[in-house]
Amino acid sequence: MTEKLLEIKDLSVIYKTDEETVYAVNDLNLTLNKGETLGLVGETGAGKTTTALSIMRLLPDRTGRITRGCITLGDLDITRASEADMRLIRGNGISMVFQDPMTSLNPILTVGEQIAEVLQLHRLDMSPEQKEKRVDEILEMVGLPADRKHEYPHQFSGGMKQRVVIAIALACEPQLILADEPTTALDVTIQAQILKLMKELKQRLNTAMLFITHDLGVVAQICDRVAIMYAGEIIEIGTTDNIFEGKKHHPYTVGLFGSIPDMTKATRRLNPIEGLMPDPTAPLGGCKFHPRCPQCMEICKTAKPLNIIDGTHAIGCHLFAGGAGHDARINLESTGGAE
Amino acid sequence: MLRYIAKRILMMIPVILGISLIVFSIIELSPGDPVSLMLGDGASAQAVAELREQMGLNDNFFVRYARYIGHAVTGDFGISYRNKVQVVNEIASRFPTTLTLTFWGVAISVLIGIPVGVISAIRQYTFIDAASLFSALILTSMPAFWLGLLLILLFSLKLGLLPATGVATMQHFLMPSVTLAAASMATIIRMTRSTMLEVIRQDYIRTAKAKGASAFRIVYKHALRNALLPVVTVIGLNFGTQLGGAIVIESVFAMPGIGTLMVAAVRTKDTPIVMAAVLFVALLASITNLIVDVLYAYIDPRLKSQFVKK
Amino acid sequence: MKRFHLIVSCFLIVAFLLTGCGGNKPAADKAPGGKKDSLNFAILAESKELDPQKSSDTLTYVLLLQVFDTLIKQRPDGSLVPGLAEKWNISPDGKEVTFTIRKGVKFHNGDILTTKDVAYTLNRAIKSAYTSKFTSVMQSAEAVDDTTVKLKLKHAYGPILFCVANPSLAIVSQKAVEAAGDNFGKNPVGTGPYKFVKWVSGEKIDFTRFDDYYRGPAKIKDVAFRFITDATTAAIALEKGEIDVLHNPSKSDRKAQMDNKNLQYHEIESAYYYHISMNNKTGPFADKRVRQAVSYAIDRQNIVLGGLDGIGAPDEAPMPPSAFGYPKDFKNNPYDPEKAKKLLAEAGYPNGLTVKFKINQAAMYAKPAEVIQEQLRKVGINAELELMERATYLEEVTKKFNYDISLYVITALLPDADYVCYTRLHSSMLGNGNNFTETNIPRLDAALDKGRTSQSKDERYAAYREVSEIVKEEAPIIPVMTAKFAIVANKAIKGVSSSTVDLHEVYDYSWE
Repeated sequence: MTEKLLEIKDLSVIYKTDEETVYAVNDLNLTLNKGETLGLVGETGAGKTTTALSIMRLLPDRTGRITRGCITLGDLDITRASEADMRLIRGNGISMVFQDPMTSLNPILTVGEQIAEVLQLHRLDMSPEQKEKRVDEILEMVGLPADRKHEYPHQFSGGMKQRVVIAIALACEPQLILADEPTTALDVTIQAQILKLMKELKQRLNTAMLFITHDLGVVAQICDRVAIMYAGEIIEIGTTDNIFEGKKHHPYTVGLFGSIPDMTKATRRLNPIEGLMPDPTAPLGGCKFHPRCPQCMEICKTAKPLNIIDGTHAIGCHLFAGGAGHDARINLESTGGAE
Repeated sequence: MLRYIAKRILMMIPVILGISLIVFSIIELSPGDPVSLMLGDGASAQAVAELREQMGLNDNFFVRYARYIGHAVTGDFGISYRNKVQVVNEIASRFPTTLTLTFWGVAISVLIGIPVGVISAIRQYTFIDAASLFSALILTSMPAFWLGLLLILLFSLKLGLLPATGVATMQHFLMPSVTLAAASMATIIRMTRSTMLEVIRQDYIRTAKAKGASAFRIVYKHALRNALLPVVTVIGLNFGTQLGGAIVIESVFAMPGIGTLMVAAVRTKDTPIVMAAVLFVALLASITNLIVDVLYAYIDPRLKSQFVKK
Repeated sequence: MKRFHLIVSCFLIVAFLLTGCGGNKPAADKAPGGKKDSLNFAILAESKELDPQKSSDTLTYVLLLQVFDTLIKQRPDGSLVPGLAEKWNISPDGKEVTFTIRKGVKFHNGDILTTKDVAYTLNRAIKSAYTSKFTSVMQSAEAVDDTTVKLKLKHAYGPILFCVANPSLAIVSQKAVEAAGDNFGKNPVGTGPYKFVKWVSGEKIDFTRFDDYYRGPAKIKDVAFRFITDATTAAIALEKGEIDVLHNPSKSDRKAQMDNKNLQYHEIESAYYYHISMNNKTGPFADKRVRQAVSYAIDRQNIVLGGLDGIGAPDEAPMPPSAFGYPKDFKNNPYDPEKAKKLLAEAGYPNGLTVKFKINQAAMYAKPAEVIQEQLRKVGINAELELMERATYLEEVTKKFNYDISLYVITALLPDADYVCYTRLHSSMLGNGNNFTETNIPRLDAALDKGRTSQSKDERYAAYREVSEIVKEEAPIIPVMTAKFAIVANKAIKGVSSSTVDLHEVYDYSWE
């Protein structure tokens, strides 16, 4: 009953400038099923946004490059598709909601024009009247009065702008939405509204979503599955239950949870993870987390850990290498489907 | 918006008055007697005194200034000392030449400068970019009169394609307009390039890309108009420089414009002509500024809402 | 986007409007026969209004001569021939000139020239401030009968016939002047070979042949005088054939134009001469010895070479050699720097002195002034050169005498020694930009007066030799050199020649 929508295999992405090469994403594997919401969690610089931009093929022209792996959306290999094909996919098959609604909208076009543009680009069969109607519809859908379509972005508040951005993303009812920290720039009450809206719309339109965030609280609210990303790799993936309720965790995930205040316990202070992410310009051997890992072993410094699968839950850590690890990768691909 | 324009036009009046007073004083304070210049060597003292009296030059400064303004308000800008013609007619006969020249100068600099700047920005660090920046540098550092003469040598004398002097046909305006456009074209290229580079890094350009818009559509619809605002400012400011440049260019290409008129009038201390020409140019510059400001509002809705609130 | 289209539309509308303004009218310059029937004559500045009695500059004269005639015509070689007056006669006391007016001469408006028009013109010139320099000796004019006009003078005046021949005294139609009032200068009506057609401000003046001209119609039909202020552009336009004649070409184009097989180049000694003026009343040059020192310090030949690129000639007497009265073979003080130093020492400047050397900033002065500055430095005079804009120069130097030494030219608008000597050196011309050296030497005044009023040619020559001797000795001014007048034209035009008085008649021209 679950149908695979997006599959990422062995994806590696680098940013190359004259001075240095940044290894942003390293051998990343991920699948996303239709209608599913996957949370992609990690610190700043873990490669979450790079992953999303790779899916859109919007990496910076001169510097960003996919060096290895492939991304398939249905039957289409995105890494090898022509630019013209990609233009048909963007905004239509896959949409993206960006982090900062304040700067994501063009200040000199009315919001109506900006929503209608997606329709002009992808719904060539629609008459101008139908497009207008669709714009009204979609505005109402994101909770904005349709008559405000003649206004300019500066006449809207931050939350309302994000609604507009979401409206743009949903206009063509894409199969997949990439939401890159859509609520980070908003204040908390607005955050909740937007999350609620996204959840509702997603269900209504049965759209899959890759939800990028560093906020575990948000993840718990909206995601079916969660992938934890560290230094360009996924180090733990599972259903939201697996991650939030499971007993076994990658030490980094443990650290991540430890750095969130828990209202139910009387903690004197938070436990941040010691140290910094490894230098992305000089790839580290072994487990990328070993310099910061409180449970680091000798093997962690030399060998890259395999994914240890336990049902819907996979962890890339030597701690759990009890023999079940040989077919980890193959198994990982079939772990999806939290419904 | 209309109220705003009306207000701006009203505000021009004190500006123009101020300029008139300043120019009148400058002509007044600079040495030299128009009558002696008119009569030349060998004129007798008596002849000079008579003519001065006849021309009302013996009244004091304020009387003459007030008289001038009084007449000017009714549209009477006096009679040229040198040529004895109605100044208004003289300005009117020279005006189309200068306006046509300046218009095409601005048009060419915009029509070439903006596309080149855009291409330069979206092809940053390529050969095209380097070539356009290099030519911009050459164009700015080349004095107008020299460029004008080079063009005449090449296109008139060697190739025989274009006339070197005069204003009879549009072909006559081609080389002068290009010469006039050269320097400001360079500014426009560099300005467009830098603002364009800034704009194409904006989030909303990424949003547009994510919508599936083509590169051309992104540049034309999303980036260009945002990048144009500072460029329009530069074009507006350049207009004054362009008028100044027109003086040199009119002389090189022997065109009967306001520029050559003004130069001749300053040399002979022909106050009525100098005053009228300067006021005319000032008025033109004020109107251009107004047009630029209105244009802003058209390009940027954020500014328009400010006008409306006023 | 709609707004964008609006802006583009506005742009296009303005563009079309302006294109309309430009007009489209390439002049047809070939006659049906295929022979060229028009001529473009370029001058380097816009002329003033074409009213003879309101003009006194050589540039405007060039144009006046096409439209108007004078009673006596001055030919390019300087000779005087009958013009509108068939003959003339000066009374024995020199105080009355009688002109016999040619019959049947027509004005452009079809009217016949009458003696009334002539008398009206002369009286108009006498009253005009512009022409007072030529008419100050004239008392009044009167039409005696249908053919005779009498001109009364205040006193006998040697160069009176040159005055009458001057374009400022060209004959106008009384009726036309009175009808046009102040606009006459923009709609001139004369008896000349060409009729005024139109004046395009800043660009050109068009003339067309007057078929009833008394000397017979001109050979070239349409003539345009074009104002091209940039000399280099004018030279290119001439080479390209956009213009056919260029008056006063730039010296820097001289060689190329002389070598160009398609052009003809004519030059002749000019009617103006460079002279050093000194402040005779205040400052170091009030001392005659210091002025004399300057006259021994300058090497004329070198100034011609360095300042005029050799295109000129040294001038030793205080007038251009083309002027009547020039003393032949006259020698001024020779170049003798040692003597100059000695004179300076005697005057109390054994270690030299520093003076203000003010000039008009025009290129024609700057180069010669630098050579002179260098020559003065060699004898110990440190002349601080100061370049001024023309109007400032005239005010500061010629009106307020705020200078020590200067270099200037004076043009003999009348080719007579009186014209240049009297204004510069006679004590009655003190002030008002004429005698700005404040020269006041009684015996010089006497010689000048004699030259001015004498009726005898020999006496006048003698007077100007004396004037030259006094100037040599007293050195109120120091003559330096004359430059050359030039005219360059398409080789296919016949009849082009250089003129000592810089007057050119297109009537003399024809296409080969």
